[in-house]
Amino acid sequence: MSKRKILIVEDDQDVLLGLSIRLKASGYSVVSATDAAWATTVARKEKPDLAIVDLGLPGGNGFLVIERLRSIMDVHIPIIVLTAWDPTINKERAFKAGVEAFFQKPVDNDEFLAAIHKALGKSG
Amino acid sequence: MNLMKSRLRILHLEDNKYDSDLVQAILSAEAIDCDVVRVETRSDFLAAVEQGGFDIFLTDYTLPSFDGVSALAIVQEKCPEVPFIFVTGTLGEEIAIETLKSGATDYVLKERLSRLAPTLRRALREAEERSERKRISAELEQARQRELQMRDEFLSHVSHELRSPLFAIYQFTTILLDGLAGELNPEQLEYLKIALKNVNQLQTMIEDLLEISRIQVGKLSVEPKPISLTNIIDETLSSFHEIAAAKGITLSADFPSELPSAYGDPQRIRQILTNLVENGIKFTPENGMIKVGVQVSNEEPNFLCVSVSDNGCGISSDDTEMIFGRLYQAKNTVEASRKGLGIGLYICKDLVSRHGGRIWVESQIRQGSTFFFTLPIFSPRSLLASLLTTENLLKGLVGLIAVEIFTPEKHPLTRTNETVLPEVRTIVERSILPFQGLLVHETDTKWGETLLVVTCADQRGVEIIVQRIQEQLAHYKDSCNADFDSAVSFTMIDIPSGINNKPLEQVVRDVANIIEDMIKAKYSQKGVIKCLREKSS
Repeated sequence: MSKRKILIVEDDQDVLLGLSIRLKASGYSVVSATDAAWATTVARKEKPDLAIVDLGLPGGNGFLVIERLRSIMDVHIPIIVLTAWDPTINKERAFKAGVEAFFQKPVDNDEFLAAIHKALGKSG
Repeated sequence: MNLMKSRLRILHLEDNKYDSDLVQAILSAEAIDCDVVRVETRSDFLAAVEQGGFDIFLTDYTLPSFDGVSALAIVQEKCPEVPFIFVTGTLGEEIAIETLKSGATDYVLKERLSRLAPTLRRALREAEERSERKRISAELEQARQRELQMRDEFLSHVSHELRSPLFAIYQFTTILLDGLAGELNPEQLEYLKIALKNVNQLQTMIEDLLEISRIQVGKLSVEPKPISLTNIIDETLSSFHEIAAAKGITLSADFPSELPSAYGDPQRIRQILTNLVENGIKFTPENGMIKVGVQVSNEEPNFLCVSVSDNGCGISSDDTEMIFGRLYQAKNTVEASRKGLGIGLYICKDLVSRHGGRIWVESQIRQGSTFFFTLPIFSPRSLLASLLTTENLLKGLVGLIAVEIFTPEKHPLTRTNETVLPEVRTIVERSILPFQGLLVHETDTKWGETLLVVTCADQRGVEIIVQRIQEQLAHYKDSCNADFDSAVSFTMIDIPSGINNKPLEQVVRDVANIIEDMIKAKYSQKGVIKCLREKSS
């Protein structure tokens, strides 16, 4: 089976690099975008199996990305939110938008990988 | 001042027109520019008060169809800030004092009307001062709230900004530690572990900062429900297992086999315990021990008392009060040189008092410390009393329905747990008719959730409810593609015979006890936490 592909939408270059190393080490292939507009382009081209989306992004926040991903992808891929934003305000909104999981930074590696694994398992 | 600024409007409750004219004449002689509106019945007085715009009320004590004391009551309800003066010929000393006690501003006897103008001036001046003070303190309070709000927003902003760099540090530290960038030698590993430990400390501080800000703006919320403290204590202790083991510290728990449920917010209580145990570990030397106990409070039988003891460095008696203050940090202790913001116990104190309990410490230098806090005991009787009415009891039977939801290996933050459990709860609640049942809800195991419903119906009735719940759950599962399994079962409870001869309270108590025992017997071995929640009908 080929590697599952994960799209990371994250404007913090260091966090993005850290996530990429971690995910690649866990056997995933990684594509990335650092702003909202680019995210849709990458998604269209790369057809990822799952997306990790930051909420605070240049050029429109993560909710916009989630909405666009939902509308352009033929298949609904699982989306996981990873943000520094306050969950008390944003978590419910994210779940209503249909995301699979919501994590506030910093997140424990094992917890995060487990959520990705589970989300991918469900989508087949 | 009002007196100077404009023409005064005076409402005069007085049946004698000549007395009223006299009052008006005296006031104009004293250069008080005013309009006097005279009324003499209750309905006219009430209408005038409701219309408003009066600066002062003057009233007679007794009138043919009304009285001054009732007028005072009306004014106190409608516009308590407006001065109210009795102007009467029939006020004895005793009654005069009574009227002042019940809120009148002053009184003037008709035979000494010369006192009217000074009295009125003083009353107006005092009212003015009062309203000025009120306005200033309202402004101050507003400013304080604004400042707190701004500080909260600032703190919230800062702590969220801190999260991203902190996360990056965590990521790369763990990438190195896990050998993703090549093998490390033991010394390098050790140093990285120190870095990681500090990352964790920094994260705790950020959480604490946010928490304290929430306390100050009143955003910190506590949602109490019936909970088993023993479970929470076990969970908390096991989360410290590794850290304690690294320091050779023994963690133990000690509680009686039978312990009533507490009424508290499980997350908050976990937070309090975590804080206390963490402190214990911090101040206890290697190979020390920390013991967590809980029992019904000796002094307050409606409370549970939790204790966290250590045999660490202890706290001097000067400090035992102060440690619950904000920004307190133990002095002269090497261990505490840099371990936090010193607000953990302040947060604990706030959380405990929001539960209606109290927190204190007993300690001896070099012997160790014991922290105590109390939490109210939950009594399901009060909840069940609303359901177990005579009418319901006379129907004969009471049933206990268990709806078990299994969500295998679900992480607490995943969508499944976040949305399925509240959905299931709603479905169960909707399946019970008002006054027919109470949702008795258990929670908090990682693998499943049991919702318990106490119903008042015969067996056929209970079967119908069970069927309804099953159908609704199946429908929800299909339509939302939800990932869970469920099992619905029920047991009938026999009502003790002869309830007609006993007082209702006694019967409710008996039945509540039977239900409590059944719930305990059935579900506590599984290590679940019982929760009774009032059905929102």
